[in-house]
Amino acid sequence: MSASNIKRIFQDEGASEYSLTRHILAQLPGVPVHPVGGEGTDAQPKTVETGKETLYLQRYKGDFLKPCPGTREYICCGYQILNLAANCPLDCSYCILQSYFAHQPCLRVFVNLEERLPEVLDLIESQPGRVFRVGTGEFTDSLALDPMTRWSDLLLPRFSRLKNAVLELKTKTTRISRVLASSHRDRIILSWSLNGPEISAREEKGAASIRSRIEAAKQCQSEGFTLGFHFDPLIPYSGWKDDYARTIEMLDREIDPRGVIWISMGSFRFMPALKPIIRKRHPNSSVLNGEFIVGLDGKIRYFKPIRIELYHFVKQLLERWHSDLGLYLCMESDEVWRAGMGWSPGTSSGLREYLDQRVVKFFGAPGHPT
Amino acid sequence: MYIHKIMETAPRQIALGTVDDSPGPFCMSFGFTLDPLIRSIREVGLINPPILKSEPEGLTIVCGYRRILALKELKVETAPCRVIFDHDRILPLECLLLNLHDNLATRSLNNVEKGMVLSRLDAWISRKEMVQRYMPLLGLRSHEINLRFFLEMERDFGAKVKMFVAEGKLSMQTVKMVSEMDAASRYAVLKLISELKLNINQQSKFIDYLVDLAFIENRSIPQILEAEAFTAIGSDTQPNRPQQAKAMLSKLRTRRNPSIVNAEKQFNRMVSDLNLQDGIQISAPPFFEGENYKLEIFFKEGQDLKSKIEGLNRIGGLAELRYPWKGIPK
Repeated sequence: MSASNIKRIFQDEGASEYSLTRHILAQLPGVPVHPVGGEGTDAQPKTVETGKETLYLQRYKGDFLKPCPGTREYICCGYQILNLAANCPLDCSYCILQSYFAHQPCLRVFVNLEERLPEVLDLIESQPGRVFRVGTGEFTDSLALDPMTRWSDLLLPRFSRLKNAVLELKTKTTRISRVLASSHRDRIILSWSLNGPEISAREEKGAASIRSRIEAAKQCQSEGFTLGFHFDPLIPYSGWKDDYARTIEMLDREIDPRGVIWISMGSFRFMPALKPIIRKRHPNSSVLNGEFIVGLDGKIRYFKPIRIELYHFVKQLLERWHSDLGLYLCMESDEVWRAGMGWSPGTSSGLREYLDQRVVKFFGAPGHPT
Repeated sequence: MYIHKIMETAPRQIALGTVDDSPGPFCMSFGFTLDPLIRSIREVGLINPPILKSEPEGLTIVCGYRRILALKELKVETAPCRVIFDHDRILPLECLLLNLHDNLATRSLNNVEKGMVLSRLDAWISRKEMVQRYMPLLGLRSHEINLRFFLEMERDFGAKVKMFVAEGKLSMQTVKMVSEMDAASRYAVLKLISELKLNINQQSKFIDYLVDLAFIENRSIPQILEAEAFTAIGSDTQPNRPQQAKAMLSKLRTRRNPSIVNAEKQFNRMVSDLNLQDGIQISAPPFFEGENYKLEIFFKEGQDLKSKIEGLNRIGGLAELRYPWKGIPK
C-alpha cells in the first residue's frame, strides 16, 4: 500500500490543526478531502474494498493505550496496545479486522497521536516497577503506513528513553526505511508475522513475501534492532509441514537467533461473524478448510489435537534452530501449552512474567538499562 | 379517474362465474387458508367488496383474491364488487399499489408474498426505488442482494419450497445463506430442507456443512447432495423424516469433521468398555476443548449411591480414561 492507493480522504473537524494531518495531506495532493459532518460524509465507504482506498484522518477520543482484550478462558500475555490507527491496507483473507471494523471499513489514522502520547508515556512512567510490552500492530500493520504517517519518527525516540517499556512494531511489510533512518534502537523491537511461504502467497494479499520479510528483518538486525517473530495464524493444509519448515530454514540462514527476543505461535481463530466474510471476499481461500470447534471463549478454533500438532511441530523446528527463542503461545490453554510446548506458564500472569523476563534479558530491568 | 376515487364507485352485483380466479398480475396471496374467511362470510356476509378490473378477456381480480375464492367455495353466484374499466385510466401499477396497501393495512405478508409483491413491482419501477421505498414498507432489509433473493425466490422456487418459506419454517439466517448461492445449489438445498422439514438449527448446520464441503472438495453443492449417500437419504421413506434428517446431518458432519467425529467415537468406545453400571454416565467436555470430564450418577438413596461409587472404584480402566487421539505428545 502506497499513498497512491488512497482515492479519497475524510477528515474530522479540527483534524487539520495537527501536524500529522498536514504531513499526510501534503503527500496526497489531488486526493479529494471531505470534512466529516459536512458535505460528502454520507459517501463514506461501506465495503472493505473501498475502505482500503479511503483514509479517515480522525481525532481519536478513546484511550490510546489499552490492554490487549485477550480472553479469560485462555492464557494471555498481558500485552498493551498503542492505538495509532484502525484497519489495515493489507488484505489477508483471515484478518479479523474485516469483521471487527465491518461498519467502519476505512483506514482510520488517529492524527492527535502526538498530542495524546504524553499521557501514555506518563502512565507508563508512573508505574516504574512494571514492564509494559507495548505494540501497535493489533488493529493495523505497524509499518505499512509508516512512509506516509512517519509514526516511527515520533515513537522510537520517546519509547527508547523509557526504562520500563518496550515498543514492538509488528508488520508483514518491508517498509523499514523510517525505522532504519532513526538512531534509536534501545527498547524497540521490530517483529514480523510469518507463515509458510505458500500459504502466505495465497492468503496474505498485499503483504511482502516471506523471503522479503526475513530479508528486511535481517537488515534491521544488522542495523542493531532486536527482532521478534509471530507465527500467527498457523494454518494446517496439505503440505503445511514442509511449508513452515521452509520459513524456518530461511530464518536459520538469515537471522542470528541470539537477537530474537521472542517468537509467538497462534493457530487460526476467529469470531463466527468472520466466516461469511471470508467466504464472500476471498472465495479461493483455504483458511476455513480445517476442522474447527467453538472454543471456550466463543471463538472458532481448530480442534485441540490439530492445534497441538501445529505447535509441537513448529516448536521442534524452532528449537532445532536455537534453544532460547522466547517461544510462547497466543491465547492457548495450560493443557495445550503442556502438550504442544512441553511446559506451561500455568496462568496469564505466569506468561506475563516469562515475557517480562525476556524484556529484562534483552533490555535490562526496569530502571536499570543494560 | 384518480385511484382514490375507486372507493367512490358504487359496487355492482357481479356474476362470480365471469371472474378469473387464477392468481393474476395483482395477486399477492400465497400459503393461506380460506377457512376463517369462509366462516366470516357465512356468518355476516361480504363486508368489503372486492375490486375487479375489466379486461378484454374478462374480469381480473385487483383486490379481494381470497374473498372471491371464499365466495366461490360457498357457491355464491353473485356478489357486490367495484369494477375498474379502461375509461377509468387506472394504470396496472396503480392497481398493484391499491392491492398492496389494502393488504398491508389488514394483515402481515409472508416472505413468499413479499417476493410476489416485489416481483410484480419489478415490471414497473426501478430497483433503486424498490430497495429504498418498498422493501422497508414490506419490513425487509433494504439491500440489493436481498431484493435479488426475493425476486429469484418468486421466479425459481417450486410450490413445495415456497410453502415451507411461507410457513416461516425457513429462518432468515437460512434465507441469507441460500441467497448467496447459485440457483441450482439454492434449489437443491431448499428442496431437502423442505422435504426433511429441518428445524432452524438443523438448517443452518446443513448449509454450513455443505458450503464448507463444496469448498474443501471442490464440488458443487448439488454434486455433493447427489452423491449416493445423500440422495438415498432424501428419497427413502424409511426411516421417518426426523431420523433421515439426523442421519444426513451426521453423515455431512463426519465428512466435514472426520477427526472430531472419530475422536468422539473413540471416546464413547472407551467409556463403553468401562461397562459402567446403569445410572452412571461419563461425558467429555464439548469438542474436548475444556479440561474437565463430567461424571453423572443417578441414584435412589444413599445406599445406592455408595454402591455405585464402590462399583466405580472397582473399574480398573477408569484411570486410563484420556483424550482419544494418538500420535500427538501428551
